[in-house]
Amino acid sequence: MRSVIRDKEALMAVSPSAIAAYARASGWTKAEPFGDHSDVYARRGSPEIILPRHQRLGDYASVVQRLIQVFAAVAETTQISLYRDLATADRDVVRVRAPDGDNGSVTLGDGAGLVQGAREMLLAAACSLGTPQPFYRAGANREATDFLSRVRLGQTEHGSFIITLLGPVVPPPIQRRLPLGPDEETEDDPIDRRITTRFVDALNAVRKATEDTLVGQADAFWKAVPLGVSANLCQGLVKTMEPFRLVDITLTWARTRPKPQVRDVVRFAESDVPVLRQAISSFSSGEPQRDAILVGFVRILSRDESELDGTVKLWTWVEGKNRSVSVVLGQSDYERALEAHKEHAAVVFRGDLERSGQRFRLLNPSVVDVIRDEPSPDESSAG
Amino acid sequence: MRPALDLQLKATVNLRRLSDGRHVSFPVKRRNYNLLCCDTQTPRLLVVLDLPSGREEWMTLTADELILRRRAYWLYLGGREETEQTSVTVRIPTTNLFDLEGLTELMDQSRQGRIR
Repeated sequence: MRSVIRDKEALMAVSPSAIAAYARASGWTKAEPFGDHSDVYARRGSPEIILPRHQRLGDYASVVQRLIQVFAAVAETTQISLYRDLATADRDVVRVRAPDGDNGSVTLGDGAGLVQGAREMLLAAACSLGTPQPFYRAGANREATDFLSRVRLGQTEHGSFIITLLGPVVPPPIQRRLPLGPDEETEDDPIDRRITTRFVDALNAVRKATEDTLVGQADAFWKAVPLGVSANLCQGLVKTMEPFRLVDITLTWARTRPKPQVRDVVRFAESDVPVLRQAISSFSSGEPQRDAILVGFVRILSRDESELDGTVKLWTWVEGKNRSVSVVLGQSDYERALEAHKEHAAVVFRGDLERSGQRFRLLNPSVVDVIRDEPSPDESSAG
Repeated sequence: MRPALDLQLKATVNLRRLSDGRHVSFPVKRRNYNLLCCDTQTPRLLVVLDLPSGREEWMTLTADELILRRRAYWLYLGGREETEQTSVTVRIPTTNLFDLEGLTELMDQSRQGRIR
């Protein structure tokens, strides 16, 4: 394909740092300043190039267009392909590749699953950076949701069916220390790079935990929680890959902050799905939902005569269904619950909601309020 | 990629000579003026060709000779403030001749990314 990019907005979207990073990575070195806005770069056996330092130049778009022509000719590739590289050179790029069914396309539902699953995986990885947990509630981590709000969905690509997620711009390091060691490089990295690194580490940990589980290490997933593995990450992965035989997840590191390897790839196959589902179930059942507010009707009360505390069963809406939640209450709260039960009044509870298999318990509970005017939807079944 | 110049070419039969004898003046429309003022990697120049008033005198083409009459002047406007006016009349030094010597000098300067 011999397309030439003339779209001014598309050309303006290529940043000077991305151009410089590409040139350096391709072997050009800075030779001399050019005015107070650009620098001349040279490479043996290649044309001299002049790289802009900022985007405020009146001819910035045509400068980028000329550079793309040179870079594409030297790299013996198309200008479109080169443009894609440049447009994402200052971002960490996640590519999720699934086999296409026909003509480079997938069904709408499968495509939506790829995007949604990839989003959930990134969010889970971001959540795990601060406090690794086996399960996260949506929106619990402000830093993570902020990161996600700055991730962009790129153009899909051919070569099976590929969706691209463009991470936020990764600025070049202020002072680069060489050689970069694997531990050293993350120390000074910006938060966005630490999250994308976490994303890859967590996926690799899932990959390993899946294999370890299959050879009998039942606690492999729980051991991987400190590396960022969670029910949410596994759920996103299942959502992404479920319709496909296999899925490759690639992270291409921003050239503005290069790593020793250009990209990392983690591959999953459909045979991994049952193990992942088991891990999700195990993680989800163990983690209480902190500070949950439950509104419902007290159905069964029980208290030994010798005890001050009593147990009630609360009929309420949990995880999309009406369920019974067991709540152990202190004396005064138990009395309030008892009154509410007699009056068929709704009760508002606060506490940590714990799931154990199909059963739910409210830990550290307290009665926040009693709503007396609402009739029970199911009075006949109240115990 | 260097040396290079971007030229805004204009021609006029009404090039005004100023009384100081060292400048000519030429009105430039706002859009062109602002494009010439902004910073660019490749220097942008205004080049104004001074034409005789009679159209038949502009160029003579025979088997023996090609004659272009009068000459052109150049002006670098980079770094000036943009304008909101409909047009700006610029003063061009008559020493800014756009001839072989002048063009060679301009190309030398453009090699460094700036026009003095």
